[in-house]
Amino acid sequence: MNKSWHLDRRTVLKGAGVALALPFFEGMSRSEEAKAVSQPKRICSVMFPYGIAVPKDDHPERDWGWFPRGEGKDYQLTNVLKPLEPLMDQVSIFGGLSHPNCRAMNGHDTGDTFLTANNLEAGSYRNKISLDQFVALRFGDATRIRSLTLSTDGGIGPRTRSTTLSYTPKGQPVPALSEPKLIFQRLFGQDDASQTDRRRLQNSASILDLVRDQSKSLRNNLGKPDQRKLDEFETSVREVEERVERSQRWLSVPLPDVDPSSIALDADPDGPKDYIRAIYDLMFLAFQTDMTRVATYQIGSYGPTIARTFPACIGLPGNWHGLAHGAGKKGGAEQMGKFDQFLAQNLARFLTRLQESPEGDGTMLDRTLVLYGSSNSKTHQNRNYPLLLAGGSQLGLTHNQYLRFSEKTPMSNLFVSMMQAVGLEVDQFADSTGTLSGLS
Amino acid sequence: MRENRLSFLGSLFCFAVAVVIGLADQLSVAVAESVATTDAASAGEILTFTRDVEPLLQKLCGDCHGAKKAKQDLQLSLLDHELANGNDAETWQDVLDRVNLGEMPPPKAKQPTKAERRILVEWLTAGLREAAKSKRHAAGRVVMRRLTRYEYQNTMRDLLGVELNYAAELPPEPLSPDGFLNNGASLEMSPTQIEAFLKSARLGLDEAIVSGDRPEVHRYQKEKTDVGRLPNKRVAGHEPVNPEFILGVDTFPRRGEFEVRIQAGAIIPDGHDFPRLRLSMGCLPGIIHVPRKVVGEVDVRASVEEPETFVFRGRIEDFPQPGDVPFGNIDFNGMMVLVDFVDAGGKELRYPGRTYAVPPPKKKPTPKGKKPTVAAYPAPPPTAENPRLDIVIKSVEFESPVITAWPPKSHSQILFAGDAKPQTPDDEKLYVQDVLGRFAARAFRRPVSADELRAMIEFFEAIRSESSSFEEAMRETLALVLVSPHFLYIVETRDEPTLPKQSGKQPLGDFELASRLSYFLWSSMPDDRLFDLAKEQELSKPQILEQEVRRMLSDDRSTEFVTRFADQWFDLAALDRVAVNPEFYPEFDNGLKLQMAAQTREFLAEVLRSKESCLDLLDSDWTVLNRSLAMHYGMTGPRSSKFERVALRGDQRRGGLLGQGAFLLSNSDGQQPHPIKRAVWILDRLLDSPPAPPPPDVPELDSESPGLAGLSLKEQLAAHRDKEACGNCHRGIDPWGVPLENFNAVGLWQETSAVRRDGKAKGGKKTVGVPVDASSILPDGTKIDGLNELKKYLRENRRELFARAVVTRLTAYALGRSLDLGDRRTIDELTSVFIESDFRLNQLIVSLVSSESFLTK
Repeated sequence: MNKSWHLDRRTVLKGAGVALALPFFEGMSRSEEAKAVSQPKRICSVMFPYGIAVPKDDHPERDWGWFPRGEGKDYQLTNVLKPLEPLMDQVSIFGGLSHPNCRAMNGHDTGDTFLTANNLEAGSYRNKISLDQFVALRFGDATRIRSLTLSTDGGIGPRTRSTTLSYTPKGQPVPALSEPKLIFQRLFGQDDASQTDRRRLQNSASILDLVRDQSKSLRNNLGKPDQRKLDEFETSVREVEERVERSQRWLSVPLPDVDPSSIALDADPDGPKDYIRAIYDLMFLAFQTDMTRVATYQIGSYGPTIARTFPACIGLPGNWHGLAHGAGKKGGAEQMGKFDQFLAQNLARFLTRLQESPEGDGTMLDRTLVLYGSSNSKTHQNRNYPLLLAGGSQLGLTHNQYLRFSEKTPMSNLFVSMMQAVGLEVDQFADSTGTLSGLS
Repeated sequence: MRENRLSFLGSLFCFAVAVVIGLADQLSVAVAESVATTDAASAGEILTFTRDVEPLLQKLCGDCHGAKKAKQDLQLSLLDHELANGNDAETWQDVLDRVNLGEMPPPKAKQPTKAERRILVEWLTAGLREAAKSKRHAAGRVVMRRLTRYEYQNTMRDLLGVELNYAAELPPEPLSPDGFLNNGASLEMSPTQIEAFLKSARLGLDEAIVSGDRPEVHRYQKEKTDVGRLPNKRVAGHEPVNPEFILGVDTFPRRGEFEVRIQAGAIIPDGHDFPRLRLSMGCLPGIIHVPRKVVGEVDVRASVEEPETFVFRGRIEDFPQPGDVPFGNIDFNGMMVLVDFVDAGGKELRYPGRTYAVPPPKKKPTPKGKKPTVAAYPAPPPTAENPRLDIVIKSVEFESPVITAWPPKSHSQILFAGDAKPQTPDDEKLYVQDVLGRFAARAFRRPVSADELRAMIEFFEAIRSESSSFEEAMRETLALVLVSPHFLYIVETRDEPTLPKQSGKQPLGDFELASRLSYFLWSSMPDDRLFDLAKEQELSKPQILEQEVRRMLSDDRSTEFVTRFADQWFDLAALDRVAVNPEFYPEFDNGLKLQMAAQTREFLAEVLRSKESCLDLLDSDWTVLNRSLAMHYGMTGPRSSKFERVALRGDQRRGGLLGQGAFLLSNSDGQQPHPIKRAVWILDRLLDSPPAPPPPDVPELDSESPGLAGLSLKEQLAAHRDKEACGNCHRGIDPWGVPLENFNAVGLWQETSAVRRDGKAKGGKKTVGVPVDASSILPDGTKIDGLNELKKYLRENRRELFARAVVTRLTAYALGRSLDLGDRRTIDELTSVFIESDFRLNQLIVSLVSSESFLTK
């Protein structure tokens, strides 16, 4: 289907520059409130599966390898990350990082742990809280929605092949939204302003409360594993209750008026180009309207993902998984590299939009951290993740560099640096041993 | 990492890994002696692990599964030999199976004596029996399970009596390790789901319970097409719209059901396929784009003289609707009913006397800088091969909302008093109690306790005065019921006080049985009859139970069982994960994927309904086909898009599942067949013996690497097997896939397969055809030449293994959980019954629901 009629149209907020009012929370002064509005700090994480091509320096296809040549400030981008060239003042690329806990795991199991850094302990799958949820909890009620979890496949997917990057404090997967229409609705569709809606919102609180009571009394008649299922239910209900309470506090604040036709809401993964673009557009819009400050997007899972067919959209043969496995073969790095370049173009477009959007005394990108990468280097290899961090020049970060680390440095150190940059008083996350040197 | 599962070979290896990690340090601690008594044959003799078994394992298995070398990651000395209470019973079960099958020790290795084999088998058998018992005691399985998306959809529809897309906002479901969507342990709950459930409940109740007067009905009818409603401009690059009939709908409700009635007949030359009507609904948001969505398609078999009336229904909110303001200078801002004529293969029919826009070329990209052109062209005149085929439309009628009664049945079913609404507060109180009691009992699928009812009534009373009406307060109270765990989960409570000491098993209550039955065979809630039988405690009586199963199977709702079970057993969703490369198959239309999935479902349905042997899934002298698939396969077949049973005279290639597009395409890479995927599918889905997943860091077979270029696929596989790391597993896999090489990626027969030679090969880089060699030697030494011999071999020599696989899959699906050792006896018994009943699926279903595993919790 041709959708050129909405491509390249800039997303416009009707009455651009809508003054976004926040509800007045107790303990928050007007000036603090104003500052929070004009200078929100954000974290966005994007992951793709199956890794990249890693040809050696003397390899004829070296220019299709993901990692730059050189090191430090003296680096040269290859074809793959070329699309980011104009943005490098806001980008650092990292080599050698990975999650030590996950290095020995199966090569396709690490999608689940990209943001959790946790060892899934083969057999007794247990995950832990992910970076985005950790941050969202601490950002708290500053926005209408705490965090946005997106993926191409949607839902949670099977264990070790999850289709979400986000995990709750108890390590439960947060289902990802995948359809642009539903994402839009989640962001801007809930207008609880009408009388009936208000009453229903109030009812919801009591309904959820009662349902939790029912669950508690059911508990006594169940076996142990079933009780765990009920825990899951009750935790979920409790969280919706919190969301309802939050919505009630936001009732007096009108939703931003957004023009849905500015985004290809009918895009689906059958048309990867439009689809990936629509997802980035939605994240951009969510940030721009300050609906949330935390987002994750998993471009594809390591499982039987829909995204396997993506490379076909730029005329590459075979599927993503096949490309990745062939990346070490003759001509393979070039094919893999071309696809990774396509992904980098999409990222560049997203970053450019953030950079072109003024905010306070800078641009949105100045206060938005975008983590981008994969949990494989060569496919199946859980080491030397291809990673980059974009944005945040006003958060004290140094950019325009390619930093290489030894395996002694866990990737979680990057997480800690990111959290400190957005102003959280955190000095430890998962297996971190400090912050990432060279970044600030 | 996969979870363990009965006789699941894959878990053997994974499990071994877990053991290596998990138990290594425990083993340095003193190990308790495990003792197991054996059967009568060796009565009096007590086998101990350290004295009798361990030395044997060391001697027979130690070379390959010992400390020095642990093939398949299995090191027997690390397994917990405490079978009953240890963690490794499932692995030991696999060891026993292997020994029993004669697969281990492998034929080339030193073989145990009869006495040694007896000791091993007896120790394992006795120990595992104990393990199965203790598993029951632990009651360690998940029995409570959330409704799946589709179960929720069906249940809401049946409960409220309103067709709506209830599952629209629910995230997709994960597959369980054994490939099912309805596995309680895998079905998680999250805030997103709770929110979606609450929202859907309210949407459904808004529709089911009405307030106010009968709404206005919008009705439009025309005998002649209303082409003026369409923009006359065609813009390059856009899908041209050439409907044969347009009915403009100026005003319509934004939500609600609609009905379109089309009266039409056809002129069909002798023996020609039936033409089809395709109905879509769309609107006109701009001059160049007509968003529309198909409502449905139907064969037109009636003559023009005696036309037939076709009725389509849908929900208007599911179709593209125009915005509030008309676009540009077009004065029409309604919806359009669009009718197209298509042939049985789904391609648009062209009619003499009309002009059409030529769609832009589909596959070939236009040269850079050039815009694709859309030219108008007249339909070609009829020829002998393409005789004139015509549909004549007499009338098209649109109506929305569809109201057969006011208030609708959904309303009076819940608020049953109708006009005789209670007048006094006391009356209302009783009425509310009655309404809630009835509704909640159906929603919870069991009688509701007084306490539960009281909480609901209190809620109703609390919100009654604030609500805009009695109905609104009722909707909200019923929404409470619809987000209750008693509704969202299939709950089977445990009655601890009456727990018999010797076993953790408890008989299923009659209401619980009704739910198990209905979710197994209908994927929905029990109907009134099942509820009545449960109430009278009749349902669990064997005779009644069997009678009910037969009734349920002959009910239309059992289509849901065939669909869901086929989808999950055969992994039909895999079709969507393969992108067919248009360079290789320019003719392939992605719509065929749906037809392929439908064929496999219809095939299973035919096996069930016509009481055919399930062995026909392996090989059959018949299949089911419709027009478009027959055309794809190059066969003569039915004239319509309906699937029909077709006898395969003489040529059985298309018989059984292995001749079907769904299996062949989903196990290809979209360009070439994939013998390994096909082999794994056969081993996993048909024989329930999946090979272990590939270990980390194994490169995939790459046809373009220097050593492999120019070799036929079979030769490439052989080269691959010669690598030590690959050979161990692939010697057991590849031979199953090679005989299928005559089917290409999209399931068409081929005598040669394309192989790409690299530049170094003689003649330079090019693709050449290499004759297919479909001969193979199976792991047991049997020589197989091609597809038909493989199918025959499976049918003749692997029928017991297949029977067990069918039983295992069906039981896991029926129970909604992974099987464990406690189910072993049921599986054994059902397998023999299944084989004795000549592999009849309906008989297996009847036996299954009366089995111990199904009737206990």
